Amino acid sequence: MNGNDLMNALSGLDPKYIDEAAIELHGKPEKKKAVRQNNIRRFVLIALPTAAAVLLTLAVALPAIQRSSKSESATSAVYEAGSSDSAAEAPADAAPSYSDAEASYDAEALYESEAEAPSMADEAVGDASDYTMAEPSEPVAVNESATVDAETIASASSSQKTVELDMQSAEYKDGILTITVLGTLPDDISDISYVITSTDKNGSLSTRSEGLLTEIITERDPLTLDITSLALPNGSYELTIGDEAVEFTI
Amino acid sequence: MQDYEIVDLYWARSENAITETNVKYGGYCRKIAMNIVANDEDSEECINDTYLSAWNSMPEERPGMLAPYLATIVRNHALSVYRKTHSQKRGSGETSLALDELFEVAGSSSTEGEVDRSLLTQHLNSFLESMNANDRIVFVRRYFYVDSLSDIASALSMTESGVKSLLFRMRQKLKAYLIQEGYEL
Repeated sequence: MNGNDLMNALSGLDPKYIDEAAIELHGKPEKKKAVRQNNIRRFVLIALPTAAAVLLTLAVALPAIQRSSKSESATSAVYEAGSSDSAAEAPADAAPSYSDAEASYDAEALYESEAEAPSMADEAVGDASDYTMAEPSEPVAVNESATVDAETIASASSSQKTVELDMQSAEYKDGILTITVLGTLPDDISDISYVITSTDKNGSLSTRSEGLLTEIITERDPLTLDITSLALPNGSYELTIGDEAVEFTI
Repeated sequence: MQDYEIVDLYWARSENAITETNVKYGGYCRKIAMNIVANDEDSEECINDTYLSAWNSMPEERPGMLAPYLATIVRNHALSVYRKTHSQKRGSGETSLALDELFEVAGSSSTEGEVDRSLLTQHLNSFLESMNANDRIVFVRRYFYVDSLSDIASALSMTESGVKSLLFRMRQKLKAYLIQEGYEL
């Protein structure tokens, strides 16, 4: 197959698509909203709820983390009531994963310091009924899951905008900026933005243009941007994409 | 005059059918022809051929929407004229540029015509179905109507570089889609 096949096949497009695009007959479609408005809306709909979720999780996790740091020197132990053999072995099992502690809510359990655990093991059976550890062990399990959630959210949010282009240099010619990179663009670049700034003779930084990378990109490899429409005057500029920047001169 | 009334004139073999078609869709058809052949004389020839084809196809055909029906006919005539006048080499102009862009997607294999055209059309329709309206209009304006980038940008209140970037992304998606559907590109 080649381009002529595609050109010919396009003649068989569904009439509704041909008619939809018949601007001569139906007039211009509704004006596209400004990109900036879309960006603001996107920020409100995505970033704010994400920030609220992170704050809420931290509000729950931080007190739990503080509590767990206080009990780090203690050793959790789980004993089944009336079982001395298992109680004697319990200390070895009693530095367990928290999921073990969580699973034994119906059994009586003891928190012991590591130094006291072996001696306490022998007395545990008699005293076991005096202790209920369902509640203390519960926060430990919540600690871990809350921490994981916070980490997951943090890594997820940080990975959304990761750009690892490793830009080396940028060359401008006739409105086209060709950038040498060692990395690669992610497949989905719809959320990646760019900023072009310049520094005046007084050292003040001013933004000359900003928007979505998709508005100016024409090639991925090599990374080529069409900045003709920005109408930048002669001078030195800095292009920032994500967290990376490269200088170029017009 | 409504489309069905004009179609009724064709079916009634009334000469007014051509007149009414020209009144309602003459400018529309001329725009398509000019986009492709970029020449007044050839464009008029395409229009005349289009009306003749429409006359010969109705009755039998009874299109629900006359505009896309005529658009397809005039497009096919215009592409035939373009290929006759550029048989030795690709010409300049929007048709050449649009073809170059489509060759980017499909490759430059010399095995033209070995694909099932109706199946390829189905896939193109499915691809367009998945796009939002604005993107779809840009794609159809460029590759069906063979509009220039500046005309598309002006019509849709976009920048020319924005249109170029959008088309670039859509060609990438189309290529990935066709490969997924089993085409070797």
